[in-house]
Amino acid sequence: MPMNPAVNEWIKQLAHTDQVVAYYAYQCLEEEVFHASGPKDTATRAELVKALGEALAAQRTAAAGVQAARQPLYPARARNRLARLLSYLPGPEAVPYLAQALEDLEVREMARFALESNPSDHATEALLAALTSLGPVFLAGVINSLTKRRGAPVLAALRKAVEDPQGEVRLAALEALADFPEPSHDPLLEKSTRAEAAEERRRAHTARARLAETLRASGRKAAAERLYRAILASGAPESQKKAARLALGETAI
Amino acid sequence: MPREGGIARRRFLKAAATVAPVVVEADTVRPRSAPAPSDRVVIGLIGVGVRGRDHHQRKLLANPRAEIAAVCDADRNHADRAAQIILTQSQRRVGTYYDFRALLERQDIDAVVISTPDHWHSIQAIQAMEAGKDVYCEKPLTLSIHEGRRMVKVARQYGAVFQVGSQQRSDPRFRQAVALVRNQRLGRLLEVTTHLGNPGTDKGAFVHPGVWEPVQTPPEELNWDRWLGPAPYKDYSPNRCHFEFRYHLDHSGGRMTDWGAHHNDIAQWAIGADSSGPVHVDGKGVFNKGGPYNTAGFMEVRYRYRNGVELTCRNEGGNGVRFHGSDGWIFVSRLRLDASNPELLKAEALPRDMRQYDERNRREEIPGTDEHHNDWLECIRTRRRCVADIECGHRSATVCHLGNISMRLGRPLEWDPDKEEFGGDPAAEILARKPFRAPWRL
Repeated sequence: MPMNPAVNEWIKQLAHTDQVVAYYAYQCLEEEVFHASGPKDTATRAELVKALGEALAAQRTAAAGVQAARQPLYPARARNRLARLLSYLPGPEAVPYLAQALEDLEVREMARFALESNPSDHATEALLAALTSLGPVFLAGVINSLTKRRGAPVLAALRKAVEDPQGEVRLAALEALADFPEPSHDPLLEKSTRAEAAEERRRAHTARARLAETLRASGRKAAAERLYRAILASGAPESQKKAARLALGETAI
Repeated sequence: MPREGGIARRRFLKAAATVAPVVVEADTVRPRSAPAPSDRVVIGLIGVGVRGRDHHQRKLLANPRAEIAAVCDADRNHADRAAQIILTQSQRRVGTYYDFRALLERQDIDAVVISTPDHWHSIQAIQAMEAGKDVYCEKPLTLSIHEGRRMVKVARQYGAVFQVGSQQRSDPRFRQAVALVRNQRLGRLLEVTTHLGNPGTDKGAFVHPGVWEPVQTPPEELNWDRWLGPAPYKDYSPNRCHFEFRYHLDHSGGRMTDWGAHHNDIAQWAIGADSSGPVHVDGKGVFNKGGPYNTAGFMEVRYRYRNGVELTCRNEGGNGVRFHGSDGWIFVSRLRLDASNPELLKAEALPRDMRQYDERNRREEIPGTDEHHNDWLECIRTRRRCVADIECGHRSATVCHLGNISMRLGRPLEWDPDKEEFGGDPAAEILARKPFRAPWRL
C-alpha cells in the first residue's frame, strides 16, 4: 500500500503554532507509522522513513549576506516529534537521520531514545559514535542505551568510559559493565568501591552484586560464587551482603 | 432461591467430591495485641499526593504494626503537608525529603511505600530493594513490560518482600470469587470479562480527552525535572502532572492500566496465570486525536490463554469482573458478588478447607487498618511472599500493556509468556520498552 498522501501535509502541521493543530497532525502521523510498522509493510515504511527523516534533517537559511546561517526548518518541538515517530519504525533506514539528529542539541535525547529502540547494528554504530559528544548527562544516556547492545566494540567503549574524568559518565559505564557476564569487569568495579565519593562507592557496590547476578544467570556459577564471596568479605553495605548470602544459599526467603 | 436438590446443587456436590480444592491463601494472622515498638516496621512514604497521603499514610498511621519515619515528594507542598498531618495526629516529627534517594539512605527505614506516577515505579522500587528495603508499590507496577522483568529479578536477588497495590486480592468478595472459580464451582472456566467502566453503575467510562492548557512555569514548590525523572522532557502544564498523568502514555497507560491493573489482576489470579499470561491479544481502541490525553478513550481487548480461556477487557458494562464457566457465572465488584446460582455464595457451600481459609482470614479488627497492608507487614515479619507479589503485579501489568500495544499498533499480536517476547513483530517489541531520560537507568 502506498504512503498516505496526507503525510507530507501533516508533517508541515507539526510546526503549527496552535498546539492543538500540531498535536492532531502528530496523532495522524503516529497512526500511519503504526500501521506501516508491521512485519510485511516494508515499502510503505521506507516511504514514511524518507518523509519523516528528510523533514527532521531539513534546513533553511535564516538570514541573508554575511549573517546567513543554516537553521533547522522545523522548530524543536516538531523535530522531537519526528524523531519519536522514527523510533517506532524498526529497521536500519531511519538510522542515518537519527544519527545526524544526535548532533542537534535540542533533539539529541529523543534521537538517542529512537536509536536505543532500533535493533539494527547501524544504530549501535551511531550510539558508539555519539560517545564523542559533550555533556556528562547525555553521555550517561548514550552509555545506558549501549548497555542493551553486545559486541567487542561496545565492550571496548564502555571500558574506556570507565576512565572518564566525569563522575556521571564513569558510573554509568561501571553499571553498564555489570550487565555483561564477564568476571574480568570486577576489578574495575572493586576499584570504585574504594572511591572518595560516597555515592560512587555505593553504586559500585551495587554494581558488583549486579555483575554477580549477571554471571549466575548466564551459567557462570563458579565465577558468580567467587564474586558473591568477595562481596561478603568486603566492606559492602549490608543489603549487598544479604543478597550474597541469599545467592550462596546461606539464607532463604 | 434454587432448591437444594436442584441441578446446580448436584453439580456443585459432584464438583466438590472430585476436584481438589485450591485455597487462595493470604498468610495473614491477626495480632491479638499491639506489637512491641521493636517489632514495628519502620516505613518511608515515597510519593504523598492524594493516594500516598489519604490512603497509605492514613491507614498506616492507624496501624500498630507500622511506624512512619519519613515522607518524600517532588512537590514540596505534598511532602510538608504529609509531615504536618503526622505531627498533628501522632505528635511525631518525621523526616521530610524531596528526593527519594536521600530517604533510601536512612538505615533505620525497613520498608517503603511507593505512590508516585507510574514512570517512577521501577527505578524507585529497584533502588529501594538494592538498599535493602521491602516495598509496597502502587499499581500499575510498571510503565513497560521490560521494567517488570528487571524488577522481579532484583526482588528475588535481594529477597525483598514486595506487595503490589492490587488490594482487591485482599478483598473478601474478590477472594471468594477467585476461590470459587479455581475450585471449579462454575465447572470449566471458559471466559472472563473485565469491565473498566464507572464503579456503581452499569455504564461505560468514556475517558475525557482533557482540556488544552498553555505551557506554564511550574509552581515554585514543584521540582518539575524531578517529577519527570526518567520520562521524556515535556514543558509543564497542570493536566500532565498530579493525578492527570495517568492519561499520558509517557507517564501511564490510561484506563487500561488504571482499572485494568485491578480487574485484569483478578482475572489472571482466577485463570491461574500469576506467573504467565495470554498468548494472543487483539485490541481495538479509539484514541482522541484532539488530545491532550493520548490514552485510549474507548477500548475492547480480547486475549486468549494457552488453556483456551478467553479474557475480554472493555471500558463498558459497569465495573467489575465476570467469570463464565460451563455451569454458570459469577460477577464480582467492590460493591457486590452475584452468581447465576446464589447457592454458590453461601459460606456453607464452600468446601471445608475453604471455610477454614475464611475463618483464618477474617478482616482485621483494628479500626482503620487495611488487610492488604497487614498482609505486607506480616510477610515482612515472616519473610514470605505477599498475596500480590511482584511477579503477579508484573504479569497483570503486562496484560494491560499488551492491550495498549495492540490497540496502538491496530493489529493482533502473538505473545510468548515464557520468553516474554512477541512473535515476529519488532514494532511491538519497541513498544514493550520505554527508554529513560538520562541519567536514569534500570
